[in-house]
Amino acid sequence: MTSLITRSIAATTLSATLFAPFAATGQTVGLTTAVRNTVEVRQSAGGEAKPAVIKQRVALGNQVDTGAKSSMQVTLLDKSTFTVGPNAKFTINKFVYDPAKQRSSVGSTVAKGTFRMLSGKAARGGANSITTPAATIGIRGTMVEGSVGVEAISIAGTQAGFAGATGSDPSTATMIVLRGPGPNAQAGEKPGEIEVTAGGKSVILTQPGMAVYIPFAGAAPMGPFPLSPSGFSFFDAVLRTAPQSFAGTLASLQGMTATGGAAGSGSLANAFGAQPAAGSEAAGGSSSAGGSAGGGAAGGAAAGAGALGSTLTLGLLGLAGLIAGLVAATGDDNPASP
Amino acid sequence: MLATPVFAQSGAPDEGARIAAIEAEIDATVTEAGALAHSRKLAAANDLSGAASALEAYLIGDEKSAAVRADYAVMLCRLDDMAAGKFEGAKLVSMKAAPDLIAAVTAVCGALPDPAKLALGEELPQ
Repeated sequence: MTSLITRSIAATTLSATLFAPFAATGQTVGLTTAVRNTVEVRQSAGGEAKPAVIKQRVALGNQVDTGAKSSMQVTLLDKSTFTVGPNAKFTINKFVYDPAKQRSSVGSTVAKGTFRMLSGKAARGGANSITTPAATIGIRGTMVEGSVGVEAISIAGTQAGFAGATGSDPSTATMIVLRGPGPNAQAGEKPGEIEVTAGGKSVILTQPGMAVYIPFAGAAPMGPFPLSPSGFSFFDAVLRTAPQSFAGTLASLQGMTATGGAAGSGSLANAFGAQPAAGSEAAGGSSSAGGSAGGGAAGGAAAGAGALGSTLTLGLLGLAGLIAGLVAATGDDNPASP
Repeated sequence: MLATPVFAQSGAPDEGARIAAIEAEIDATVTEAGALAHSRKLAAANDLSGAASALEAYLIGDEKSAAVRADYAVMLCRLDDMAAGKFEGAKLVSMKAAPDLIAAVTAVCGALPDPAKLALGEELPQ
């Protein structure tokens, strides 16, 4: 039987999406498939918080909050997955899925924290979007990671030449990176693509490892640029897990960032021998492919090395502490994941 | 007469079946062996992203599983996120994973970075 599953919550403004109470719908759009430490779900923003457990149904408009040293993964009915790291706040506010046509349209809002989304392969025909306080990310069949708030500022600090990042807003700054599938993906996986729109400008990313940064709401995206190894490690530390034996490596990568040492000195693509990150482009304006000398130039908006703002520095130190806590917690906590 | 739109709200038969399917997958991936079997089944059906997601979920609860991490690294590289795949491979090297696991990752991802050199920044380009 052919059916179309449609869920949506109208939001006239971004602020309403983030902060105004939702109309309770109770319509299931997915289930939690992994929960680590403290994760709470509210039926709507401002509602009563209840601890999340494995296999918990997540409904349209539910607000999910993660605590320190915590993470979770939600699998949507179209098999797309959404993973969020510590101190995150996100909501699924639109879900349209047509299994017969293998199309879905998922709309989500991330108010803060770090996230990763993988589009379900059976639903690659549609278009998904993620809204942050500073940007809208249009996603077409892809793997994307992002960070909102202080963590985004910390990651930006790993990129060389971010003088323009001074003045980053710790509550709205947004970092977005395309992770794949790349052009050489196997098994018929089509290359992913994202379009990041902010401040009236859109930037399209087509190569894994390319990123853009929006320092505050209303600002245009800076980039695209290849994410530095240190920047990658920030995402990795909060979205994935690592054995204790790797804690030193992660800490060193973070340390390079916090002290302003080697951070931003190169791109992951170069460090690990991947293909050069060419082919990314800016739409509707100046084009700025990454991969320039130094590996971290952020388009024309932030060329040249320069001192980071005090906010940025504080963000770096704050996230380094957070990650240290995560590493220290490895093996000591009691994950609720299967 | 116009054709009836393809549309159904909450409670569509398909929805319940999909929820049940996801619940069954969660149950099937509680153990390391189950997670590996399920993800390999998805990969064999050319659903690499689904396989990667299943492995990610397992690793959130068991960061010490070298076998799952090896499959995860392979899946990321097959999705052409080589950087992430090699980074997972470096984690395997750091935990002195079994040679066959390292070999399986290397076969798909290529040479893996040395965690010690990675920590020192020696493998970062100048």
